[in-house]
Amino acid sequence: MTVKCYYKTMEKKAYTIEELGELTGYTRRTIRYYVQEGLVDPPAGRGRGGFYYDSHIQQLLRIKSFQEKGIGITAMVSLMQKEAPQPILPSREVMIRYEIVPGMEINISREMEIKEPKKILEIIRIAKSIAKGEMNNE
Amino acid sequence: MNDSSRVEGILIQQNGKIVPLVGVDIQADIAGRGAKVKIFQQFKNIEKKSIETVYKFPLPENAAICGFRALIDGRIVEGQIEEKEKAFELYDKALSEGHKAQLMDEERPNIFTLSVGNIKPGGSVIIEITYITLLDSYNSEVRFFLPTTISPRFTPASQEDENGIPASALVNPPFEFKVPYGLTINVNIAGRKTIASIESPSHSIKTSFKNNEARITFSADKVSMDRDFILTIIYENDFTNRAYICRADDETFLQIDLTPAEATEENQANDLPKGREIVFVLDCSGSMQGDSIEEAKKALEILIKALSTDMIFNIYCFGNEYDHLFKSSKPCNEKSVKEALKYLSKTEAAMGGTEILPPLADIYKEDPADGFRRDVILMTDGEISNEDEVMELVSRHNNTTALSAVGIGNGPNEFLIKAVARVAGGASEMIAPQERIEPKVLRLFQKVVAGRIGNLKIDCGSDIDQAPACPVAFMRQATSIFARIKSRDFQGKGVTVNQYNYQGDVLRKWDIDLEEVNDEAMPISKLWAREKIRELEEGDGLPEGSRQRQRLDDKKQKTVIDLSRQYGIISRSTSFIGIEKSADTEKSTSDMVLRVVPTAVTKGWHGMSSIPLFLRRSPVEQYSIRKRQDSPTEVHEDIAIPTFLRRADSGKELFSPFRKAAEGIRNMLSQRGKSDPLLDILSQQRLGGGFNMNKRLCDILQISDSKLSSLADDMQMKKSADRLEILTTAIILVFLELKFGDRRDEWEAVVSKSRRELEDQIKKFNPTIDGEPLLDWAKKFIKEKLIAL
Repeated sequence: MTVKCYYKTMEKKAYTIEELGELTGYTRRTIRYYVQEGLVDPPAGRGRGGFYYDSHIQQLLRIKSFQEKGIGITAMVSLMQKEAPQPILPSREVMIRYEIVPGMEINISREMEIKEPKKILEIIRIAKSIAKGEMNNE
Repeated sequence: MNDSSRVEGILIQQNGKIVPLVGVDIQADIAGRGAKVKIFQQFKNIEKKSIETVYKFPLPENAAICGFRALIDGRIVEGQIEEKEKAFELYDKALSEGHKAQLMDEERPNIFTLSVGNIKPGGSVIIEITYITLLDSYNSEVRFFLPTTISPRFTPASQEDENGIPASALVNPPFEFKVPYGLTINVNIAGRKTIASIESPSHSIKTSFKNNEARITFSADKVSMDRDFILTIIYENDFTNRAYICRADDETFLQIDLTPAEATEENQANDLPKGREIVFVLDCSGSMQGDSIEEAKKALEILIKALSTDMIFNIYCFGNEYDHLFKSSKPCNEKSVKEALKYLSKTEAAMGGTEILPPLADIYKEDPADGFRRDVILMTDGEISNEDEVMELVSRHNNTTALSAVGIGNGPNEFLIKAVARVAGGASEMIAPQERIEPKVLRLFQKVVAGRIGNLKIDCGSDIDQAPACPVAFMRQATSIFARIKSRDFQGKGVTVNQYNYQGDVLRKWDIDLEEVNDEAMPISKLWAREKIRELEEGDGLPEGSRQRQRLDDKKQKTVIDLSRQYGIISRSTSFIGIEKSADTEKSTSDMVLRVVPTAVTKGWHGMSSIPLFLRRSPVEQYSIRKRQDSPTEVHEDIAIPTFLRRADSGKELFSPFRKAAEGIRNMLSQRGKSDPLLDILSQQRLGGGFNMNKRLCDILQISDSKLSSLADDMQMKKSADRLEILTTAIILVFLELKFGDRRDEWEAVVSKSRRELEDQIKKFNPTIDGEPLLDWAKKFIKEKLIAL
């Protein structure tokens, strides 16, 4: 079985904190506060000079939609805790590529592979047998 | 804790976090009512990574903060005033680029946030903050107040976030029961020969004299920052009307300190209704637990008994919810007062959080009854974060209802107490946990009853910009009014302060000579700007608008920012920012660790570690220094006397410290468990006025029942009446006059109805003893008694 590893960049556009502020209407102070409180992910890169991605914008716009409904931060935090956690795509994700047959492959995130390795191997095995069987049938 | 965790006073908290604040030092200079204070906060980074530290701290609410600088490894970085969000951007950008920066924001006029960024491993930074202020005064007394910790503020669920950040996060630091840093202090008071006594009800202090100054330090090397520091200075002479002039750049500034000896009759002043409605509002939230609520109740009992029968009254208690004695105010009579006392006896501080707004809204929802004007007396620790909403409510109704406030409890919110009274045209009193509540509440009641002196305008023959525009003065306390003249060439030698009525007629006026002062020594320009900014921020005289003070409209906010920049003082719309650019080789853009400095929970907060009642000092038991009258040349260099060993009751002697120490301890021990005789007398007043002799009064006056009865029998009167009551009332009133003349502020208003009743009876019955009019006889009788006592 051929297994190849590669890095796939999920998001391309990076924003400075100034741009993030312009796009969302939040002040620099407020953005820093949300990051500090864990409401918004920390910027990518080192220290304060790091960059932000679309996922950060989505997080800020989500906070804004709560605020427009008159929900303050304190109430928002408890609401968010009650809600099912919404996975936020990380800015950079390691994907593992399994080649089933030439021309067909399955990509699995490393996180998922670490979490359920047996299941992944079973899926790959079944996928291969189906692909080969189907091909044999043809 | 291992040894490595202790470096130069820095301790690691139990939760493993390092506290970079090493300590705080205060250097204060006081001259009369003026104070210039420097605060030094030292931070040190003992970690392996660069740190950013954030520290929330309190300052007096009326301080004009005019200096901010950092000392970094021997270099001085001067702070500049910048618009608040712009200042944060500059700070944040500087740290992003690897520079060092310091930022100071005003969250409330008495709560500030300091951020110091990019302290390198092993590095240290000293922040120096300077402010000037005018101290509160009453008669000859001034009160220096310096908060050292922030009490947790209650945030109602309905309170809006401020720019997307919850108010609680802006005003509440993280709290710990103990913090590793401490406070040192050095206060210099000018004019040693003018000082009668110095006393701290909050801390044990050491007093020494050098040249013409008194110098105050703590008895201990370093004290915990868990309570407000209060210093009471009594001068030899009462404060009087003064006026100062100084010139700065192209402008002239005036400061008028008005200390009216008497109140203006308010009916005459403002054509106000004659009837009085008094509504007492008592904070029964959990933060009032302990001694605060008990003393507040005791003071209220005396006040309720002191109400005249032509007044109407009500009581509100509040916590998370509120409750009131009557649905609406009722006339003061025997039945209603009994109900009130019963209601108070059942009152406890167990009503949860501090929600001041709903009970006030309930009171204000209806105007006072026809023919009545209303005074609200609010007794609270004010530990809330929605001050702006409360102020907006009371200022909106200040034409029908005046509100006066008493700050009690542990770590009361000075800003709320003073500002809410200021915008509602009322008086305020702050009471430290170590001070008795009753005397100051009685003093406040006196101010409320005597009335405010409003509609004051400066007339100096030139166009002026007066701040505050509509000041309110109360008798015997100094009220400062400032003015700016847009010219340096003002040549006036004196000013007139006029009080107007609503028709625009001058009711009263004060002519005061101007004294020229130097703006460096006495920066009136900054005090004027502070007052102007405060007025814009608190919305005095502005049309009703937003409920949130920080939402000043653009024009007003621009004015605040311009004033703040021009005169170099901070506001709620501006911040101090200091940046030191690092050389490329020193730049650090790696992750900084955030270290938020915890604050100590106020001692006694929520009844924790409260001070036993018997250890509190009533005014007659206060110990202080009185300089020796017969030996003006005597010098006491560095004599250390703990404050609790000092007394100031006679004024004739001092100052053999050891003899005084022994005497002080004896006095203190003998006073334990004893109540204040003045308050005991006041609490015996009958509901309808007058006094009946009873055992307690007989004990205080050292007179027997039988002696009094025989005197009453000897009294000659035109008609038969209750001789004993008339005689007792006369004796008590004269006794108060002669024995407690120095505490007149506490009893005068309280016994006014007894005095009126006695005057009526004297007019009707013309009582005499041994041929002398009753009051003349009583004076002689009491004088002899006091000599014998």
